[in-house]
Amino acid sequence: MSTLTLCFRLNGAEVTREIPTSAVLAELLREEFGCTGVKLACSRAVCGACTVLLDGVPVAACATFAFRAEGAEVTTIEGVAEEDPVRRAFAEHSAFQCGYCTPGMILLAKALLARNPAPTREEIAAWMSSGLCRCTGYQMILEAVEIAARAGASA
Amino acid sequence: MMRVAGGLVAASQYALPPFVLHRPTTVEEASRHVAAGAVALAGGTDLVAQIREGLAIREVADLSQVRGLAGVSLAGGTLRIGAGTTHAEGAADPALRAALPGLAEAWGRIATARVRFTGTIGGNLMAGRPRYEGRLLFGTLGALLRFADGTTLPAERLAGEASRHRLLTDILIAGPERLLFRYERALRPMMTLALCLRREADGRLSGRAGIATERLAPAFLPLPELRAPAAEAEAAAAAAFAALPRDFADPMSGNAWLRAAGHATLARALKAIAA
Ligand SMILES: Cc1cc2nc3c(=O)[nH]c(=O)nc-3n(C[C@H](O)[C@H](O)[C@H](O)COP(=O)(O)OP(=O)(O)OC[C@H]3O[C@@H](n4cnc5c(N)ncnc54)[C@H](O)[C@@H]3O)c2cc1C
Repeated sequence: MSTLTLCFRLNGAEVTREIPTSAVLAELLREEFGCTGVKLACSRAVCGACTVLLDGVPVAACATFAFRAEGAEVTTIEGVAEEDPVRRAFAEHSAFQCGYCTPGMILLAKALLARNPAPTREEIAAWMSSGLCRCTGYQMILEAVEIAARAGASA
Repeated sequence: MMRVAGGLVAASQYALPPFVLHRPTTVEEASRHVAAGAVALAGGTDLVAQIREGLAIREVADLSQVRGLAGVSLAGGTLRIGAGTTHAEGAADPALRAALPGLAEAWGRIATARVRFTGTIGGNLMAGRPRYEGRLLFGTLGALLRFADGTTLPAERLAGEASRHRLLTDILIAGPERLLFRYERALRPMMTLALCLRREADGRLSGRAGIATERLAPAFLPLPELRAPAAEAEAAAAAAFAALPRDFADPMSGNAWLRAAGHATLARALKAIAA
């Protein structure tokens, strides 16, 4: 087969699409579903800008074939409510400059706090190193994750 | 396409060319597809980059539904690590942590948190990129790679092309309870060094070191027999590095520097492993 019918849940809603087998998740989410918070940059799983959650696991959507989302719950930044503690911590603590890495950073942080509600600074730094911020705003990003953890973001 | 530092090719944002997708559920079925020319897809963290670098593929065998490819087990004195085991699963596996804690610790340092959930050790080895650490770790340990066609290959002898069209199923490590393993990667990407000592029945220790850089496939250096690694560390490191080939060098790490840094790192590792 070189096309297939893909069914998955996107930010809580059931969706179905006919896709080529080679469709990459990031492109599908952006082009077909308008999830432009999934940023494309390195296209090789390095920079973290395209991070989405696949059943709660952070993945590089630029290096994940879309068919791997079959039956899964995909969460993009569009599915994270404005009042979400991680999103709020990033906004209130100015943990962004140009903002390009921010969706990926927020989703990475959510995945961390879901696994480890009270991470140490070292654990946060190690985990968040999956995302690159070319504005180098790392200090504020790490602090925002700490603030979100204190605000009970894992709940 | 544009060449950028490190031999990488600048990414294309364009859609990937279509391919025929096979979704086998058994090792036998997957092996048949791979033998017939389909490219194995495990986590995809490297394969997508290979395609963007120009690899042309017509058929893909998705391994995600193949039963029995993942997991770690210890049976009959042999540690078995499934090729489909992700970095996150492998490093946290209780059987591995108990049997060979040095390997679990080293494995836990590979890649970023996000890649660790999907990237597999089989993909790391079979991608054939010198900068990936699997071959150094498992080569130094004297591990055997087992393929679905029944053949095996010492991990140290793995070379990208030679293993195309074969499905890797497991990595086997004999007698892990007799192995002491340590990995030094603080100088990565300039140099990484792995050390494995095997405790013989009479108390002697035999073993080897492996050294690699970002661009060079590992060199494996035998160690003289040891009784007291801490006391004999300097002499053993000197003997090991005397065997490092003179042409083992890359543009970042010259041969003289690799000898000096490798010697110091190995001596330190021998003292630490003894403690
Ligand atoms: C941001 C980033 C950081 C990284 N950092 C490190 C690091 O610090 N150290 C390190 O060692 N590595 C590192 N890596 C590499 C990473 O370990 C590999 O990308 C990963 O292990 C590949 O596994 P995969 O399952 O995704 O393989 P895939 O991408 O699915 O496959 C890779 C290759 O292996 C082949 N293959 C896969 N499984 C099999 C099998 N069972 N039998 C035969 N062939 C097979 C595929 O056909 C393909 O050619 C990094 C990668 C990224 C993206």
